[in-house]
Amino acid sequence: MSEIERPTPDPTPEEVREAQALREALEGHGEHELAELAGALKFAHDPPEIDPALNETLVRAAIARAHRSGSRVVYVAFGAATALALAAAVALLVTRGGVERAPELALSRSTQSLFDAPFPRQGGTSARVDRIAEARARDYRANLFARMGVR
Amino acid sequence: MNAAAIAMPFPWPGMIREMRTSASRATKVAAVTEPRATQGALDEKRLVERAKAGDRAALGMLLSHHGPKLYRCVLLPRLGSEARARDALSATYEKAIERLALYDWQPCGIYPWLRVVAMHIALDMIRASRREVLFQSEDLAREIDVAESALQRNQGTAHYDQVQEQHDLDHARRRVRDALERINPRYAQAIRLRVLEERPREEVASTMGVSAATFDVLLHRSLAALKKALATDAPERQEP
Repeated sequence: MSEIERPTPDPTPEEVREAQALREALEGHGEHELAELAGALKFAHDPPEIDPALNETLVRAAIARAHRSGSRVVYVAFGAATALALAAAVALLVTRGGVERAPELALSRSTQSLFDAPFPRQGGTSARVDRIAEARARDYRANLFARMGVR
Repeated sequence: MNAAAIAMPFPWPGMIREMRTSASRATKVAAVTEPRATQGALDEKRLVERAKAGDRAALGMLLSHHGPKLYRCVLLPRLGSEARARDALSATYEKAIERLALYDWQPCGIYPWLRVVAMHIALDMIRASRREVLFQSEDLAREIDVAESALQRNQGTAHYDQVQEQHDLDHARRRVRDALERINPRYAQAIRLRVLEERPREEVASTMGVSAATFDVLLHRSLAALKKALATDAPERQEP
C-alpha cells in the first residue's frame, strides 16, 4: 500500500510539539532541523542575491588575508606600492635638500584655551579628557610632521 | 604595472557603479550582442592580466563581479544555507587569489575557472557535513570532473558564464523537483505551497482542506519524509 493510500495516523503529542516547533522556526523564531531542510529547498529553488555590501566585505577581507599570508599576487601589488612610496619619500628629501630652517613646533601650554565655559559640577569628565587628548594628539602629529619636513 | 590603479583606494569611486552596470548587463542575456560580449571578454582579459601582475583593484573587481553569481548559482543551492554559502564564497576568494598565478586566460573568461574553485570548496564542505542536502558529494564530484574537462578542452564562448549561470539555476530547480517527486504527492504539495511559494500557512491549510494546526503536522511529516528520501541517497554520510 502506498503512503498516500494509508489512513493518516493521528499525531502523537511529541509530533504535535515538533510540528509546532517547526512552524515557529519557519516563521523565524527558534531553530528546527527540518526548517533548515526547508531553507535548503528554497535556496535551491529560488536562490536570493548576495548583499552587495557583504560581497565587497568578503572580497576586501580575502585580499587583506592574502596580503597578510604573503600571497604572490597581492604581495607584488603591495611591493610596488611600497616602492612608489619610498621613491616619493626620497624625492621629497632630495628636493628639500639644503633647507635647514628649524621647524615651528607646538609648545606645552595650558588646556584652558580648549574650554570656553565653566565645568559643570557633575558629568562631562570623559568628554573633557577626550577633547584634551584629541588636541594634544593633533599637536603631536603636527610636531612629528614638522620635524620630518612635511607640511 | 598600472601605478594609477595601485594608488587608488579600493574600491575606487566608480568601481561599484561599473560593477553594477556590468552585472546588469550580464543579466540581459538576450540583449547582449556579439561585439559587446567580445569587448567584455577583452576587458576581463585585461583585468585578469592586471590582477595576475598584482593589481589589487583589478583583482577586487574580478571577484566582486563574479562572486554574486558563484554565491547564487553555485554555492547557495548546493550548500543550502546562507551562512555556509558565505563561508564558502570567502574560501573561494582566498583560494582563487592563492591560485590565480596558475590560471591561464581562456576565451570563455575566468568565470568557469572560479566556478570550479567554488565547487571544490562546496564539495569539501558537503563531505565534512552530516546534513541532508539536495546535492550529494558524488554528484558534485562528477560536476567538477565535467567542468574541469571543459576547462582543459578550452571550451566555451564569451557568453559561457551566462549560459553556465542559467544551467546551474535550472539544475538546482530540477533537483528540487526530482526530490519532491520521490515523496507522497500531498506532502510534495504542502512543501511546494508553503516552502517554495511561501504562501501563508492559513491559506495553504485552506487549499489543502485542513485546519492550520493539522497543516503544521502535515508539513512536519512532509519534510520528515523528504529528509528520509534524501538520506537514502547519501550512504557516505551514514555513521562512520
